[in-house]
Amino acid sequence: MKNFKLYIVALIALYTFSSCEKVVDVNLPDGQALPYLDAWITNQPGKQTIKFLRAVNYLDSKAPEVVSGAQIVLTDMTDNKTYDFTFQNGAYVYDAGAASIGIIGHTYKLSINWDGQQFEATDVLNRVTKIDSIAVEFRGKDDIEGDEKEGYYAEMHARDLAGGTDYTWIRTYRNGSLNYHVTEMVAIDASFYENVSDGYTFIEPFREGITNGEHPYLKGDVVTVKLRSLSKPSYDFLDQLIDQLYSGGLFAKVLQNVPSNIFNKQSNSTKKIYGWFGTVAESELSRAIN
Amino acid sequence: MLRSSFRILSMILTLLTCHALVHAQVAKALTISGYVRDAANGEVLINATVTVNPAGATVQTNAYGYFSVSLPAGKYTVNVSYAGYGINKTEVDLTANKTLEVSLSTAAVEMDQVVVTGEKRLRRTNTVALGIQQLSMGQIKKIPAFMGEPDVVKALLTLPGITSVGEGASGFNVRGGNVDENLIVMDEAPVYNSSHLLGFFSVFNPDAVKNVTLYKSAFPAEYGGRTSSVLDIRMKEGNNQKLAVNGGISTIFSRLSIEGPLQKDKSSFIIAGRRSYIDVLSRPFLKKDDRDNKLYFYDLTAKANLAINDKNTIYLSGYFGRDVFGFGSEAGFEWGNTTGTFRWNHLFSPKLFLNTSVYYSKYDYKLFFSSATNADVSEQYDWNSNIQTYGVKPALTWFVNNKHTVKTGLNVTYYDFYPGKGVATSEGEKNDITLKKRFGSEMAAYLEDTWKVNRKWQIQGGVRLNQYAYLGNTTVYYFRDTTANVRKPLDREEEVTSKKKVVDWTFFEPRLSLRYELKKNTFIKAGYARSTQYLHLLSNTASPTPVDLYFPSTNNIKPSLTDQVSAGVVTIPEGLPLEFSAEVFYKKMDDVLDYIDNANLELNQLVEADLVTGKGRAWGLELEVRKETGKWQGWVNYTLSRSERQTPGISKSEWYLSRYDRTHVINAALTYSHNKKWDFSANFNLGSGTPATFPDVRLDIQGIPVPYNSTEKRNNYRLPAYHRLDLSATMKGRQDKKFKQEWVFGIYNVYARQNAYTIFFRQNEDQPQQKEAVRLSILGSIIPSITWNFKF
Repeated sequence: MKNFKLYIVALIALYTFSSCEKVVDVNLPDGQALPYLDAWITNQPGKQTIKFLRAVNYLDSKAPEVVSGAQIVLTDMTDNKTYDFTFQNGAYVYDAGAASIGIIGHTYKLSINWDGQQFEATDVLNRVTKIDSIAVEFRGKDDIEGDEKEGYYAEMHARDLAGGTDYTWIRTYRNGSLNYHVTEMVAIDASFYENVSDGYTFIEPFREGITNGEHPYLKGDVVTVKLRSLSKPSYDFLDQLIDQLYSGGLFAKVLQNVPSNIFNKQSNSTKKIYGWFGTVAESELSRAIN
Repeated sequence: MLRSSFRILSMILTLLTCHALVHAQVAKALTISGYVRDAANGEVLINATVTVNPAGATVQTNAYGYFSVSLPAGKYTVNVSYAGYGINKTEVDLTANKTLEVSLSTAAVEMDQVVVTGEKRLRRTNTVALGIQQLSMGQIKKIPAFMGEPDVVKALLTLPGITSVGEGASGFNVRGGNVDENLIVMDEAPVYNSSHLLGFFSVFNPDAVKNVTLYKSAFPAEYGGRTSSVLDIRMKEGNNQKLAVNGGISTIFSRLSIEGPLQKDKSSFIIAGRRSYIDVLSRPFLKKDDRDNKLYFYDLTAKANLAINDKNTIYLSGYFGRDVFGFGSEAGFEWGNTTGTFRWNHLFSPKLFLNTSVYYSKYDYKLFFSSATNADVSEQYDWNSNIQTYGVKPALTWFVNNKHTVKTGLNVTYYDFYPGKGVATSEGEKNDITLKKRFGSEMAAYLEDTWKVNRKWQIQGGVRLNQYAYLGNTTVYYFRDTTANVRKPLDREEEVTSKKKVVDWTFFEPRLSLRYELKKNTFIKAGYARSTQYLHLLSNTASPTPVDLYFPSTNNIKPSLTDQVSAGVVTIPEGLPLEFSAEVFYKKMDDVLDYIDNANLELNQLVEADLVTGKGRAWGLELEVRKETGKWQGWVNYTLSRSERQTPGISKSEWYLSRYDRTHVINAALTYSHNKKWDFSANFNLGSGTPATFPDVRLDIQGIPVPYNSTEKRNNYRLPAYHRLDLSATMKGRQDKKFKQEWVFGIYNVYARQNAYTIFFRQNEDQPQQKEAVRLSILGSIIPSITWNFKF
């Protein structure tokens, strides 16, 4: 979505010619089962979960294999506190109970001891704005265009926090699970670029981006929008991830691997852990459609 | 530095001139010179062949239709020929310098066959250099066209060594080079974006184009600044005999051109315009809200010339083209080229021809987004960007004698890059991002001699001295060198307040072409050229987009340099109306622009931190059979080639295939003149699929299946082979003196092949745990078209 210039160009191309998409069989050889981390620490109380997994062949629908036997410790560098994550039910978990591990403004370090080697990653937990409201309207036959369907269209209203550059990850849930029909979105302040929209209301593509016109909401649905604050490196990671994720069309970005922020402390070792460690503050709002 | 370079060059020039003058005085030759024109409309004919017998001297007319032959006094027959025209014979009793005004008439189909079997007209064989492809508008118009609109770039794609990454892709790739490595000049002014509607049509109006020449290797020394090819497009001068109107109405465009004399035989003008009208046609079928949507493109070409006297002619030409898209009042997007050229032809003597061109060229785009009028938050985003070029090109041709033709000249170019300014407005509050302007200048001097050593040997040798400077009046960024394929950290920035040199490079570019006549009508040719490039189109998408930026070479981006060697043979066997040719080439490219993984090319002040340079290499074999006479005409060619890149840190620092590599390509473009009424044409293209990078594994991150390529190698797969057949039929209607008309019926993609443009990977929309590979075809169906052309 960030490349909205390209997005509009792609729209034109679709508008003009009958391009067509077809699911095809592609014979891909087995890829390497790369070890990777899916480690996101939030400012929410309760359980924090870190997943250490192995990559699976892209087209396989099976779940990734779990890597056990690692020691994972999270350090709050600001408060100098450590949290030992323990392996249970296929994930590494720490239960903070009624407290939260994540505190806005703190820096965190993740240390992984695995396969005889030490790995480390760091991130900063930034502030997040709140969602003011979610508006819902029903669009009938006369209000829709193109491939859009009749149904309930939700719109999110939030305002960027003034001062400083805030990076936000916007995720949409439908009845408690991720809405796969809408795209993942990331914002810089309230728009796509730095230094232009400090303190603005989140711009239209974000406001309207929580509904997919081909799959609008139905009566009885609960729409939840979750905002997650990001550090600049985590923003870059997600921005690149999003580029890879929605890379169809005339101006498809050439596939390039997303980076990892997990470094091997043995600088001469070739062993790697892929994936990302991020610390986020969350805010969310739900709206039931009735 | 520059001054000294020019001094050296002028010394060489002076030396050579003195030497040749002495030589010329000894020979005491007289000159037959003049212009070759089309009898019907007075248009000069470029590259017409002038043969003087019994001396056997053969020369071609230049880009302004001028020729000059030096001979001792005597009686001669001057034969002038040009493809598709009858031969003109003039008897000359040469006692003093003689000027000829030769007018050729178009040959009728039947007559053409007779003439051509009698007279072996040579084409590839005429030129010294290799890798030259010329197309006349007649040939271009015969190739079945997409939506019935004859197209220069689409026609080029039927020639060997020229490909594109797919339907709708902007630009074209020549011999494994990138799109931005083609120098496209229209009446001497550079054109930055050759496409309308993304890549579906090219910006050149077929009614206004006179001549199209593409140099794939061994570029003449007069061209520089790009490393892959030169596409030289000359526009018509306009009919200087009578007022004429040409036009056409097709599925997508309407064209109209008016040309005529300003002063009969002396000066003429042409104004040609076209506009697409999908939007106009579709309006009644759209919903009320959609009727404000805009989708059109247009271009306007205007030109005038004036022959002041025998010795001076001036030309003024301009082009303005625009693509406009809009979605109501909420979003708009437009882009286009603007060029203007003033040229002055001056004959110092029958042997000394000077053309001085002064040109301006601009490519710009704008886009805006705006909230709906009834929206609760009023917001607006405006963005514009452009590149402007100013240039002066004096070029002197000296027809020394029958053995030597010397060309020399200067190119002075000034570049003004305006990467862009974005203004975001929300609830009345305005903020902008302005990328720093960049400036560059290019100075070049060249000297080239075409030397007919003897009957067997011809040599075209030249040198070009190029100096490029990246200028100040901007912020200059310095970066620290770090790991390959990682964003370079900013070391410091420096404000350079005046337009003084920040960094400059000087390149010496030798150009050499050899031709050897093995036996009658069989030639062996070889060539070498070095060329350099100082501006780059920043694009890391599958195909360049209209919003990609041109960016100069800076202290952080070295100019790229290409050396190309090529060799070939061309033959017209006795008794066969066919021309066979074979060429091989090898290209070595240094400091080719590449991007780090996940480079940010959009609105990035520090974009240079994401750019790296690497090496490239390409080689290939091109075979072609052409038949340009008779009822059946056309060409069939086969290309075997490879194009690779190597950049530190990218694709494990190993050689990888470039995005536009195609191992095998076969093209066939054939036309059949059934009778006076009907012509049929077919075009078939078959090529290996382009390389692509596929993910082989996925990382599930926060519920998102992230595609990942565990081989870490770029372009490790290939898309399925591309093939397509197009057919067209032309029915000539009334063809009298006053009015001519024809209907062209076309079918593009006859058997509805769904060629893969890309294959991408995603999770199934309804079952997110299921992943799938998706083939995107830009054109998935048959595209029929009807065009009506008229002329009066």
